[in-house]
Amino acid sequence: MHSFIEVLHSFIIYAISAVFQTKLMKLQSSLLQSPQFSKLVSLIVAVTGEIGNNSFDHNLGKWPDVPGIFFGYDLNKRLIVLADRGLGILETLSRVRPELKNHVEALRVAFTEIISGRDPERRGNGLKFVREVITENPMSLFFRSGDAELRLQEGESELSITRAEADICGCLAIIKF
Amino acid sequence: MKVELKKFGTTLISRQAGKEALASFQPTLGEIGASENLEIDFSGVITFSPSWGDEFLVPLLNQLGDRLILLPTDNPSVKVTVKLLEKISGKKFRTG
Repeated sequence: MHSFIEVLHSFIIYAISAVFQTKLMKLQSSLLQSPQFSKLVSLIVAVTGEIGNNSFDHNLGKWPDVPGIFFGYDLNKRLIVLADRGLGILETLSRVRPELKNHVEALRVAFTEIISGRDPERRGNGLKFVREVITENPMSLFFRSGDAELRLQEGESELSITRAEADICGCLAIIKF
Repeated sequence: MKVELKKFGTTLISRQAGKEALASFQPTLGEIGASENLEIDFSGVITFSPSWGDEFLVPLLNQLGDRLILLPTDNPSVKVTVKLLEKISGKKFRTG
């Protein structure tokens, strides 16, 4: 019952980044209690934090409809899910890279180039960090924005980005470890 | 002078928090001598992310150059973050 309530409480939209930070630290505490995750704790939390904070940083004051992020995790399944209904990568990056034609191009730029929708502010490194961590550790990432899907896992230096049949609003990330 | 980053928290993960940490550190930074080194101690830090690091460490690197010294750590998130910050800034951190 206790674990069911924990899971249920984790399935909440966090509209304020400070609340997300608090729940992220709860994830960290849970991971620290399991010796099997000891080597990956800091990396799992850092990756989750970077993706989650991106949602707030890039959508502040501009949420199209539901503000905030969905943040859920299941340590038994070794799974973390983050989702938002924000602007998405293409619209965010188009402000500084208007030549981007589609979501696939935008995702590639986001994970490979140091650029930000809030340029010239100093930003744009979070998803590069995520890519480095995922490819160097026993982890995987599924990331969706618009109709573009990225799949990344340990040992893969090339990005695998494909086009899905339908668009989604905002971003979705599934981290496995 | 040595600063223990754990004083700012053990989970250092957002830009806003990094900015606030740097702002709160300014009075102490003002007390560093003109030729004195500033050592960054990561012990006790559990998670360190590039967003926080970019707002705290990179401005210090720009200001202090070689007088900023990162003390050794085995923390994987620190290692990956520092490597990325070096790529982004185009500068190397001095290590102790």
